[in-house]
Amino acid sequence: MVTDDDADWRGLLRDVLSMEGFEIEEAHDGLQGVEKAKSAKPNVILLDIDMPNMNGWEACKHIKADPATKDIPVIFVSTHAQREDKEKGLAVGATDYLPKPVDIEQLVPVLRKLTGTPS
Amino acid sequence: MSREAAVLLVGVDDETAEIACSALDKRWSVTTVKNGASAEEAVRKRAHTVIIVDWDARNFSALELVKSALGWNRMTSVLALVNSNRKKDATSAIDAGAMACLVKPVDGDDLASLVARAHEKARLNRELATATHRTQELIDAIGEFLASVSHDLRTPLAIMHGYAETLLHYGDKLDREKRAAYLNYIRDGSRKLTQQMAEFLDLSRKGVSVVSPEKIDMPRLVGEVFRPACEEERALQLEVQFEPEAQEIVTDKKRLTHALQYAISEALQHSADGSKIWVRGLRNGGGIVIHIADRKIDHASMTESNSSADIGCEEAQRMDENQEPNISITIARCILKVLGGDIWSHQNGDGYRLTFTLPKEYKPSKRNHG
Repeated sequence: MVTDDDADWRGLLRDVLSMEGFEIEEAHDGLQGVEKAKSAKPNVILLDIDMPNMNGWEACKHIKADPATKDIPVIFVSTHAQREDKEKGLAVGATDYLPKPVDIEQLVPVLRKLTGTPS
Repeated sequence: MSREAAVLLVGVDDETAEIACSALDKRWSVTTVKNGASAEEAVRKRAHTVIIVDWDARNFSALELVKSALGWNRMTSVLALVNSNRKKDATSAIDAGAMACLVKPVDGDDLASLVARAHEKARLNRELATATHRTQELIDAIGEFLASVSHDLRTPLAIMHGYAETLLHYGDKLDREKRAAYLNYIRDGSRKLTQQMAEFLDLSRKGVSVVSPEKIDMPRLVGEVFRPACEEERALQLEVQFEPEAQEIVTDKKRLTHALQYAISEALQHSADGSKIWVRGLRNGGGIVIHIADRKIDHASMTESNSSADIGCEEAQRMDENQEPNISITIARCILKVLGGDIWSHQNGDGYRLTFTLPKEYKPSKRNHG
């Protein structure tokens, strides 16, 4: 599931990851991301940080606090690229933290590993 | 020199006090006290720019008084009166932080001259403190600006990078339409970033020297700038309402047009399909205030929603403080500040709102003329 308020970014990941064989769910803010995590039960959540209604940090905390969604790996994908951002991301329960721009060659293997999808 | 500036004489003998009062009290307000405790009480009641202390005073420690006085107020200058045969006292006074020493018996003109210098020093210190505060504000603003630029440039750059990479890796799998969409985004995005950089350079190099005020019909200009972006590009409805007193202003049309373009480009990013963009101009003291709000079309509640958009500037400013820095709003703010206005944005679950102000008539600020 791609959770990002930027429609262009969601569209880009949808195109690329679809071509790699992934099914994509989308959420346009943190609140919708938390709700869809429960209803759609995605294998992996890609989560932006700066979003309206609920930011990525809060969304990750909610996802990790809910027994129904706590085991879903969360990967932060954000323009915040400082070391402390990554530390904060991991501290709230994320599996990984990738700064934008993300290399497809870097992202796809990570998703394959987490979803158990062969290339 | 204002007579409000205050001088405090502490522990001086009667003869010296008479000389000092005679030399000083035409220009400054002079208070005389006998000891350190009375001095502290006097300082608590009123700030004194200069404290003159007699080093020979018996009933308190002049040395302790100097140290305390500088603790009470760092802007205070202390002058020590010493005996000519006790040079060690002068050294102790200066070491303790006194600005200068005068040898007794005191010459009134010398004392007045030193007090004048102390007041000048205090004035310069105050200016320095103001300048330091202003510098810190600018450093904070630059920090905020760089954070905004860094974040907001990375977002479109990240997408352009992603599209370029996708074209490289999956170009043969993409249909012609998709490839064209990606390339168009890269072309338009790079053009927009180049334009933003040019705007920064223009603002930083030219400052206000190119401001060309002219009479502007605001509803017309807002319509010209917003209508293509709202109705032609996004099929959003646009409604523009200006109070009669807010319809005409005098400012730089080109700069205001740029600010409006940045503002609407940001506002539209947050507007859902089918929204209505509602612009309202009101008279606000010596200027105008303009609210831009988007609402999902719900005609039954439009009236109520619109009235709630009429928030005050202070409220808009307060809500803006919780917003992430944003490059379009930052550029719009830079431009509007040159024109004497400001802009604030706010986004919540209810929609996106911009509030900006402009003077009715552009007037160059003194700072910009310096």
